[in-house]
Amino acid sequence: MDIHRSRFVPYPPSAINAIAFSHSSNDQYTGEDPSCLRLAIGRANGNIEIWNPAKGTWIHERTFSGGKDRSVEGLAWIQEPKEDGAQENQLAGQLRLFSIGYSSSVTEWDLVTGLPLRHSSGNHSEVWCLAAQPQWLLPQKKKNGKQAHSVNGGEFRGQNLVVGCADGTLAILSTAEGDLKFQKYLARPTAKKARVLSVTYQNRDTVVAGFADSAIRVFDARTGQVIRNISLGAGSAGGPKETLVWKVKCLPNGDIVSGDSMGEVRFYDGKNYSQFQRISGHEADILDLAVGRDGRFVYSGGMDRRTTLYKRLDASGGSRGNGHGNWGKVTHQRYHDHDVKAMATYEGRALSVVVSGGIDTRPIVVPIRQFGKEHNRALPALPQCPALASAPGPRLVISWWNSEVRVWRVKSRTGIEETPKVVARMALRGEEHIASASVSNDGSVIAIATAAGVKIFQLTKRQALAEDGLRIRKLECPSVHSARLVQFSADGKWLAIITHTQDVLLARLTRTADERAKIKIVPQLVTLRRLSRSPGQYDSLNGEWGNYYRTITHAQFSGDSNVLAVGDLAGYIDTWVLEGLEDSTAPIVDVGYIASSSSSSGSEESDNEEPRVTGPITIMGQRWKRNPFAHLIPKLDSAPLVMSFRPASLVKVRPQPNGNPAVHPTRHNPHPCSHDLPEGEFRLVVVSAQHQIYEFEVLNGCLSEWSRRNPTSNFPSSFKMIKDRAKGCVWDTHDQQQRLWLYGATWLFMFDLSQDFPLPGLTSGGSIANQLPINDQGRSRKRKRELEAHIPMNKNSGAGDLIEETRRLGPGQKIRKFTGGKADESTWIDLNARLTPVSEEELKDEHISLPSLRRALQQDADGDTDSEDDEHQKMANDSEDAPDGKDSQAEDMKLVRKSKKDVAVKARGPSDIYWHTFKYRPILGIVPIGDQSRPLEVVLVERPEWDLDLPPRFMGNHERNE
Amino acid sequence: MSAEEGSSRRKRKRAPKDQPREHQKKRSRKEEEKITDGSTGIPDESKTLVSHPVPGNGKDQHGKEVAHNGESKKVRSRRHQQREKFKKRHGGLGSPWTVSEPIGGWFLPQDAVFSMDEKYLILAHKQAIQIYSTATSLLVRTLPIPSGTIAAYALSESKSNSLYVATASGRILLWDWDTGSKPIHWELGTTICGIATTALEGSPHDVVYTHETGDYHIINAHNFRSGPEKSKTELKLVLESKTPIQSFQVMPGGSIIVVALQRSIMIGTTPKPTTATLQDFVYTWRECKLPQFITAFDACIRSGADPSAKSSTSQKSSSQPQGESLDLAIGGVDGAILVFEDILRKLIRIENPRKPQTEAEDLTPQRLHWHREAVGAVKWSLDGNYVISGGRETVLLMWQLKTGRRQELPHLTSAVDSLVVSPSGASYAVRLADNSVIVLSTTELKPKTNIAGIQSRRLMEEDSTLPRTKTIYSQLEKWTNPLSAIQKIPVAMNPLNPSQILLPVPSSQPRSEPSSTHLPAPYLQTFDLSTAHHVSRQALARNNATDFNTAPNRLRIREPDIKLLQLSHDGMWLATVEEWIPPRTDVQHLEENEEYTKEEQSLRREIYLKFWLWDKQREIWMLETRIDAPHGLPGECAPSRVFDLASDPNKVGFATVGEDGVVRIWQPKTRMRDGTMVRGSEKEGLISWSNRYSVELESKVETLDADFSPQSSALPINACLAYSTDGSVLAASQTWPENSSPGLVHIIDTDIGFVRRSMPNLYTTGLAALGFIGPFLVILSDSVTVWDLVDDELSYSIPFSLLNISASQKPSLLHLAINTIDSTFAIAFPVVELDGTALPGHEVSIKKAMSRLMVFKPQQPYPVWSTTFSNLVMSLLSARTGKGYIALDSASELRIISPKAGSSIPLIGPVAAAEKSLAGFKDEESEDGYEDMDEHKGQEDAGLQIDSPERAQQSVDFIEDTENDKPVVRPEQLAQIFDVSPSFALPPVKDLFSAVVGLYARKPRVREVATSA
Repeated sequence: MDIHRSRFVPYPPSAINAIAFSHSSNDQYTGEDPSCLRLAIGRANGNIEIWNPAKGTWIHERTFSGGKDRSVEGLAWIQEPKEDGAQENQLAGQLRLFSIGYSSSVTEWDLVTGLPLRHSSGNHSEVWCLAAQPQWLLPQKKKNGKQAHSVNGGEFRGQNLVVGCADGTLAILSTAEGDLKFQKYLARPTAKKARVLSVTYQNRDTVVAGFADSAIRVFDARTGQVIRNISLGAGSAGGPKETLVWKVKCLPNGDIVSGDSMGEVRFYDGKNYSQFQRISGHEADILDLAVGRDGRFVYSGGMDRRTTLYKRLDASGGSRGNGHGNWGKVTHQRYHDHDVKAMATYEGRALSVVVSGGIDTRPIVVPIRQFGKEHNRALPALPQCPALASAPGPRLVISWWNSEVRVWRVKSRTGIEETPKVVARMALRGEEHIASASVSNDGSVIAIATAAGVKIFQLTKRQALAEDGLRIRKLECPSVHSARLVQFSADGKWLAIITHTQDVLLARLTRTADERAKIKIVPQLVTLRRLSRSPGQYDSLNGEWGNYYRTITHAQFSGDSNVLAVGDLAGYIDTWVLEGLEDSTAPIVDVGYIASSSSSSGSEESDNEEPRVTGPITIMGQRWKRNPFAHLIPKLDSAPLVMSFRPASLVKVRPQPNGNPAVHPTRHNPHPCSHDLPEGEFRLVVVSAQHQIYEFEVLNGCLSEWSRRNPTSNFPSSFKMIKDRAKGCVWDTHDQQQRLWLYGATWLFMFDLSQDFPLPGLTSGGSIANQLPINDQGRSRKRKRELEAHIPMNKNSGAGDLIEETRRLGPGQKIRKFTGGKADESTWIDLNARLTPVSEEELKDEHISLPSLRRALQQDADGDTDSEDDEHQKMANDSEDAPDGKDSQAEDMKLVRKSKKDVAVKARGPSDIYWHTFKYRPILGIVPIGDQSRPLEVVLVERPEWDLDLPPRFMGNHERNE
Repeated sequence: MSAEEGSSRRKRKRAPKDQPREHQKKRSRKEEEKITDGSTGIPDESKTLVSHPVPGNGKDQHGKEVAHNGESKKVRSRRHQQREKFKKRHGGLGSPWTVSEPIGGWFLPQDAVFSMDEKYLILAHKQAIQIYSTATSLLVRTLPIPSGTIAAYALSESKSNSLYVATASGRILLWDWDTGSKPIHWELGTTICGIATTALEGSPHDVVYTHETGDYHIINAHNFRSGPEKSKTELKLVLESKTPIQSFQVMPGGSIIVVALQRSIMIGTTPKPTTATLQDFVYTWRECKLPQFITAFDACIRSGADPSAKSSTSQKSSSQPQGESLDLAIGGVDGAILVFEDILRKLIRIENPRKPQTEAEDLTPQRLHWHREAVGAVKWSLDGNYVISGGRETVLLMWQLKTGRRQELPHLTSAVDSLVVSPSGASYAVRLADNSVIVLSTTELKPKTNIAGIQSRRLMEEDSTLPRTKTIYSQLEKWTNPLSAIQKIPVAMNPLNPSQILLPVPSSQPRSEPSSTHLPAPYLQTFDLSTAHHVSRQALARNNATDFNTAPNRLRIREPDIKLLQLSHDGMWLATVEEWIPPRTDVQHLEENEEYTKEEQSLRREIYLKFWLWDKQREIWMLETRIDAPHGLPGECAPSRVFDLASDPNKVGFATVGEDGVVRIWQPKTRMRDGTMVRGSEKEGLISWSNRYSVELESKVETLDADFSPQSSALPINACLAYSTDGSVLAASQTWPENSSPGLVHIIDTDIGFVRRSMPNLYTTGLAALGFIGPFLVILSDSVTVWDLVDDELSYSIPFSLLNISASQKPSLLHLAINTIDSTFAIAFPVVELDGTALPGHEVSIKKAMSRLMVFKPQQPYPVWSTTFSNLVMSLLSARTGKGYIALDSASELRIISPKAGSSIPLIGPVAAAEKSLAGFKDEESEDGYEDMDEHKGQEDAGLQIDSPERAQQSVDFIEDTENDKPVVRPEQLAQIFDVSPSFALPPVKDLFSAVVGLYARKPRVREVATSA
């Protein structure tokens, strides 16, 4: 494989300004973490990313793209109250997401479409901060009998929003009845016009706001009365006069915490609003605070890049202090390379993390409960869907960001290194940012999806200039209200458009032989319908207002453009096939009504058919129809991350009708259509968010043979260990190879799909058949290994792996006790074992016997166990020998070192079943380039941190600029 | 039979004859005792010496003529004549020599102990407990132990004036340090490392905890009783551990003990011990591992006054009183301090998982990380609100835990080694790694007391319990042979004040630094011998004690090393030679071949010759001239090493000899500009130094042997210089690595800078030193050769060879000092036993290193006297104004070697009277203590004809007042005379009168050289 390691793509970094978890961690939540728990990250370019923590996997699910001059400065989630009527099967309330950004309005986002739903308006200046009211709780939880006033039925049980503005205004916005309306002012602008920098609810009726005039004011949300004005006093000598209260937060017991521009965290009594402690934990401004669920931990992040942890020292019933708890700074660390601007916590049963983000664009996950015992983890800063596409033939690479598109031509590597040249650049008119873009394989058309619609451009060579520079012509587009995803088919004839309302539309492009001639787009769009699935369990993201999980994230055409597959967040895959043969003589658009054509498809399909029946649209003798076996493709365990058709190994050329289409309209059949289904194997490789790799035979609706023999449990442990999720893949089918190059933000893996992975139980060489009798043994070993290697992963609280004993903060995991002088007879007690006993269920038995059986069968069928195969086995086993923990890390090192010899040679070597490297990071995307018949050539775009164009950062007293 | 035994036998023979003469002297008896003591104390050592070839001519003294095979008959007969001569004259010289008690030495690596009233600070050297007054920084009392070395000491908790002292050999002494009376002692017979005491409630006795080592590390509790109750002395094993115990702390009351092992901490609790028997001392231990090696820790018990918490948490474990929390601060090797609050309660709660699925008990400590390297010391403040810490950064940090704020006291002179908070919390005693202790007031952080010992480079015995893992690698050379790391310390004596010596010292010698590294010495320390008092310290070269001291490659920046140091004869000028070699890692990339790295290093080294003028006003040495690269190799731009520096004994001038084989004579010159004298601010003429003459010595004699690589044979490995007593000639000689040195000694006329003569074959190899005694030229090489220049004949030559020492190490290990007053010279040489082979590439360690010192007369081919030191002598110099020598050894102890009769340097003892409570002394001090002591001193000085202004300057605490010459009589001394009995029973008035006169007209007290055991 020839890699163009490129950093020329100026994908601009976008700082994280706001982070919010959908479920607040200080509600009285005791059970499992809700499956609909989401994390919203707001960035400076107006994008909002929705992340699914998924028990510590952290999947970047969606991006709500922003627009020009928009920024997300604050985020707040609320959850509608539960339906009162159905007490038995309580319907979870809807989750709603609000954002603010340098304007006077608050925007509510539609989680299903990913578009702004409504804007609030108010006669106030720019909104600087917002906070959501705490959830309404059932009053009977209060044990001391004063519940008299709270049980009036007319009480508002939703969560209002409070916003603080630049002129000192505090306003309450009502979210009642699914609306967002200005309700009342809590505070009007003062003479000083001190900005409201931070605001929070102390309880449902009390609002605490931090101002820029070194004051914290407490308001009664019902009356708008100022309950207390807490002054922070003058700033430090020599510094600015006023202390900016960048953040106020409330602890579960009502105490107030503030972080200010002096770098101090101050604690106030929640009842009499008097300060009882101040801790200086930062050298510069504290920008955000995060409070743990039980009020024992407070995190602060600031301009000095530190993340500081404070702990209530007598939280365990100690004897000192004055009842408020005595806080102490535990430690600080620099997880970020730049200002820490936003933090959010979630503490549930499994998940217990702080997520922080800042100007360095990387979200960092820090454990709370396991602090000091687990590593922090940096989530990839680059988007999950690579903003990169290529037209391999003309060697074009396109990339996009915000509302710009750039096209490069990457020369093949012949002697002199040449930096790729920009051959075209486009800046879209209009406010909306680009959500997706696609280029046809021949590089002649580019389609760009924005929230405003689809734009299609034709690229032609410029006549004047010899080679460089492309002429861009805008093409007439079918009118689509909005588009989230566009994808060209391989032959460039079809363009799949996924709209924000999850419609799958197909546009047909017609072109003539002349390259320069304008490409026409058939104005009639083909609408494809997905199989309607059972809506699944209703939760906060899935209700009558829409189903978030049905959001389509991937659309992929097969190599011969005859099959289209789309996947959604729920894990459903829908496939359609193109039936009929292309007939240039047929009418371009032929809309008919359903004839007997649907009889071939299954009966249950028609059962599920939606009532609104439109006729199938035949375009040039071809029409799309649902894959008859689509319903057989199972729902994935989680959302697909990567979908790609395996290039057909043997290309069957479909017989072209010789100018005379096979069907003619007759009276009874005015819209004739060939019902030929495309032939050939359509193998779709899907990588799910749980990093399970499946390969489906789409037209048969089943797993492929290879996938059956190689379930993900058989994959090399070095792959299973990877935490960063897969982003995309590239196929290398040159020279009879079947190699899948899969990559994530920090890694690049190669799997040879023409070979089977060694069974995990096997450690020595030899044929598989010989190994069968000792398979049991193998399994037991595997289990043991799992005990050692995977338990730490299971115990993961959402952040990184366990820190090894010697580097942990605090005492080790073992203590011992003995009486008398001699220590020898005492035993060490493992703290961890006691705290979280390992349940047997956690050690899931992976399917080991099945694949080996299958393989054995296959081998019997093959009839030979050729020695070459054995050798592969051996080779693989050599590298598989030490599958767990550190050993495989060393193994990785070894592999990487091996790889240094020559990547190309390595790739050509026949023996490796898999190979990987971590040397490229962070990877924005990898796209193939160059002729398909030649050895694989790819462009790998990295966006290293040091290349990011960041503003100057704060330097502490004793720091040296390195 | 050794020379040692021979001399002592001779002395005994002569004793009856000598006795009447010495009887007139007052201290004679005591000294006699001492000397017999000394000579009987040595034999076991000399027995070990027998196996080593030592100057073997002692036998000759007894008339047994043994034909020495190497000696010519002529020499033998000459020697015979000399011996006859000696026998005639011996009456004047034959008085035996004495070695004084050690002066200086390193303070024990233990926390200093405050007396309860904080008026005294109890420190200890290896041989004695020393009690210093915190108000005056003066030594008020020494409590020397009879034998062995002190391992640890602790103040008794029940009686504040009792001090428990443990010796390494297992003896516990109980001293009343207030009166200094004779101690009571118990023998344990084990090796003791640490000691702590606690007082039980309601018991008048202490429980003493000792940390004993052996196969196991053991902590024992003892119940020492003396007198009639002696039988009640009990012992109870408290803890036995296989991993080495680093240190332990017994909390008041004895119910909690905290023990630091290497990487874990153990907390022992016992229900409040009430009875006096030790059988109840059964501790329950809880151990938890820590991520780092512990370098320092401190525990503190805080009692909270929170009744609500008390009632809510009714823990069953009564071992810890309710409302009290045990807080731990632990400093690790990575520089982080972990603070565990209320750790004991948390540990107990973890053990009782009554609510198994509730919140996990959170043991996460607070982590205070500021120190870049291992934490040197950490302590809680008394109220528990602050943690005070110090480390190698020379900064004292005060962490306020509640606010997260940190106060810093930077720029201490050296790394912080230990730290103590005084009993009232009013001051901190900080022991620094330059062998000094300062007491800081807590409020202003101003030093109140400053006590310093000799800070010279020392060779430490390895302390195995301390973790050796360092976070920042020091980049000093590692030697395969530890002897190569030993270098001479150039010590000079101030001619203006012969009790003051000047010596270069390293900036800091923390206990975490392994002793095998050679620490460069960029500072100059001035130390007063007679009072054992540090006078001043001044930086002579660039130093990084308080700077950021690591390079970008995370290695420590190396400081320049003062290699040579000399004072001019008038004491106004100081000449120093400093050398700096770039570290290996900086030049390694230049050459592929490892061999050439050394060459690259030498090409890039920096060598300066500096001339300093004494500034009387500011009392510091001012740099007047710096000569860059005083010697350079011809054809190369690299500076060459300076081998020797000599000071002209009669006029201001110095001479150097370098690797280039050139002797340069440096003389001052008044600075002229356009024909007029350049004057300084005080109208004094400014002086600059320049090279007056350069005299080229012979270069390497070409040998016929073609095998010699020209590179290695071109440069001499050592060269020596010596001025004659009148300064008219300068002897110079150089030696080459091969055994082919011609042994040429050149005599240079200093007036014209010309080689007058060259005398060949005065020695063969291993030139170590040259010296003149009158007409005699002494050459110390592989033999001791004395050449009579007037008669131009060999006086004598005694060959001696040393085991385990190579020729290249000799220059730095052999010492020669010449005392012109009594016309003797002394040599010192090491006696070394090595572990491991001396083959190249093998790690060897010094098993045992001692030094032998011999005093010769130029006329006598046998030592007048010899002795053995238990440590290596690092420097030897003669007392300028009197007879005798001063030796500085590797434990930084100074010893004065002098003839019994005429000790040249008086030693002034502690201020307080022996066997007296310090209280009387204390009373005085409040009113006129300062003046009083000053008078006292001045008086002493005057009596000794020592330049008193100089002396008075030495201690900053003193108000200058030298006119008051009256002796000081303390009230209690008068009381001693008058209060002996009721008035009717007083002695006769005449006796009383003479006693009073004796007080007022007495001579200044001089410390007895020999103190009775």
